[in-house]
Amino acid sequence: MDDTTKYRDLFFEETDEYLQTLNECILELEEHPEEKGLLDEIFRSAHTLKGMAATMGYKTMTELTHSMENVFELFKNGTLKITAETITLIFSCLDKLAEIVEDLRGDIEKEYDISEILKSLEALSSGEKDVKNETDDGFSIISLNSLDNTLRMLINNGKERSYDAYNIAVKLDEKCTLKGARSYLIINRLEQIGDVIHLDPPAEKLEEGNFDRVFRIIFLSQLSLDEVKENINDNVEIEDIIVEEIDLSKAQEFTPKIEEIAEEVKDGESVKEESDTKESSSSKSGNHAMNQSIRVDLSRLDRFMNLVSELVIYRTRLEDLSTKYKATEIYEPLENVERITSELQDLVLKIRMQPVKVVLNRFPRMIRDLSQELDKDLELLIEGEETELDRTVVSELAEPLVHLIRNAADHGIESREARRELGKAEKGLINLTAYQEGNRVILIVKDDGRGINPEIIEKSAARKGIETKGLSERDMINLIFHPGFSTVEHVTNVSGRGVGMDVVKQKITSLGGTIDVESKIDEGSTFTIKLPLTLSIIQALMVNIGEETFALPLGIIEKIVKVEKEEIVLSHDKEIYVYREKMVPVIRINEKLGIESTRENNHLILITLGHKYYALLVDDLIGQQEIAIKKLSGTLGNMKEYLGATILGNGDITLILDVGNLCKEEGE
Amino acid sequence: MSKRVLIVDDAVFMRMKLRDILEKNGYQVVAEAQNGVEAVEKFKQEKPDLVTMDITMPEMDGVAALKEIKSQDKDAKIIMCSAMGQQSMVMEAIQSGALDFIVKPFDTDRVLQSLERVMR
Repeated sequence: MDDTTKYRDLFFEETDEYLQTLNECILELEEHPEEKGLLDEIFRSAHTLKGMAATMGYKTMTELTHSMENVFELFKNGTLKITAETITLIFSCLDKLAEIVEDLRGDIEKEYDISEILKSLEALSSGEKDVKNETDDGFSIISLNSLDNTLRMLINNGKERSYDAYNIAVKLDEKCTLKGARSYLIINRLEQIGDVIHLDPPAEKLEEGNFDRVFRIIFLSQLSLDEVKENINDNVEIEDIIVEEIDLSKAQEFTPKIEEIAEEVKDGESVKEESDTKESSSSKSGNHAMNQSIRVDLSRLDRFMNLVSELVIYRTRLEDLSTKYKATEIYEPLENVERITSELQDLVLKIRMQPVKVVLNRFPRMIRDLSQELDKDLELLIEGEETELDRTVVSELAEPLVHLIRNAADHGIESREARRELGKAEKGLINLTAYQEGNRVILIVKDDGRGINPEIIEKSAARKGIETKGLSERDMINLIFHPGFSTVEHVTNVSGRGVGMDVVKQKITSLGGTIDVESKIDEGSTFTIKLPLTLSIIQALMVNIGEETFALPLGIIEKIVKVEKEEIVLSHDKEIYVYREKMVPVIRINEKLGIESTRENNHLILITLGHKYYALLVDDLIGQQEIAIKKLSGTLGNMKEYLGATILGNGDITLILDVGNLCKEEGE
Repeated sequence: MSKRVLIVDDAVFMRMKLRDILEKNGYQVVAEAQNGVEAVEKFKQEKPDLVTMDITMPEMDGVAALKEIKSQDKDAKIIMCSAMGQQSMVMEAIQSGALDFIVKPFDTDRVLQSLERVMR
């Protein structure tokens, strides 16, 4: 056995990348089938995948990628048309591949039935073969007229030294697997008996095996034509060869027309170069960008983050001590420590940042599949995919977003007929927008579909026994986030199993974010997700409740007011506070936590969760502070009231309140 | 006289398969080696007419072994055995003097073809 286990992680990491690239490129290819660069990239990726799989000894994967590669090659040489069907087939291959890779990752090696897919692939490959045979007569040597002046000069120079010039074309055997190496071997052998002065396709392409069985050589040698021929024939895996002596006197002058051809070739190169530079600038085509980067194990990064957090804690503690002892001399160095730690903190946060496109880039593909599945015209517009978020947040985002987009496609966007009747464009539009706002990132999923009808929600809620009395239209719509709520009458393959939106909401809340929906009938729905930039270090408000100190995340705080007892009124058995003419439920945190309030409960902290206000009653305010969140573990981790804990400047440990959970029960 | 061959491959299975093909077709397998180091030693001892050399092997890989053998005997006839996806290794081997290569999984005809031509 090859000792490939240690490359496993790398293998999977790279495989994921290549699969993603393939997905993206093929999607793009469907829209721009004429783009040659794309095919090259696709071909390269598939080829690399195959190589990697073979090396790891993953047979099925190798086989599948190999067949795919064959099809790509047919795309490349133009014998196979790029159609919706072929693309769909390729996609199903990619899905199968992804499935296989997932299983392999989990160390499950099972037998896959890929015969169906292989058969379809083969059908594609052989279907074109008939066509290919017709064009196959294209097996010929390089036309003398197309030789440029440099080559002509070289040939003439050779003549003077009694080197004969040969025009050679080699066609490799159909079964030849390593075309690159085979051609290299042939050329290598020729180099031992003469000089290879021109190759078509160029050497790099040949070495990559990036050509269609036939390659052409201009060759100078002192050997006779027969000897040259024999030398080439000494190689295996050759189907046919042509060798001709070059007589330049028979060639036409190097005419401008041919220059054009040469230009074209150069153009091809410059296009490639262009795409190369495009790749390095991570602007528009940043998708395939290869930034100068290193891979870092995530756990190391987490550890780094943790250490920096601790540094922040002790810095705060030092500051505390220096004020306490009035150690003036320490102020200046401490200020520097402060500056450096903040920079360090910024940096580590930035390192952990990942553009949301990491999750967003799967959606174009998903929309494509959905539009086929649902037989709707769908268009997905993604904006702001460069917006960055902490990578833990990014990786958790996929699931809720998938849900929202599926919902939008399935329930939001109407059928073609319905849209036509309403005078809408037949193509349904789904917008996916991301942008940063302060220390939050906003993600918006918007569709121009039928919208959510509050009446239907109300009926459905009533059926499910959910209280709807006194709810505004907006609140009504937000009921879709209620656990166990689903308005769909029929369950489609795509969505609507009744456990949808509440899971989405839960996920977002667990990420410290909020989700909110706005909707107008026949105009569409807009889901707005607000997420914190990072989960590890936050600005917090320190408050006193009884004798205890707690931290509240600052991001959700709207306003703090000092209240008199009379301002808190009872309504429907509930304490409320009127803020901007809105009734805001009052939550006495001390009661929630079972703590005795020592002083007057006289500070109200107004917070917003989604579009809802809550007023938290606390005893005293201490101040604003930057804190590093440490997750609670063990039994403590199960306590819903707390997000985590932090160590304060004075070394005390303080719990961070999970406001979302505290208010949740109140809201229901 | 039948040609004397040294088979180098780390997998017993592959060696058996090759031996089977070769012996059925009039070659004499004089030795087997399971890594590059062994290959170099056995080559010295046996001076075979031909070596089939696997690329991925522990201790010393096929390309390194090829270079070592070639440095001792520049006329050594070596055929590389490659898996798909080892193109660059194969090319390095060719550069270093491998006469041909065969691709796994082995096709009997292909193997014989290759051997025949190299021995010519």
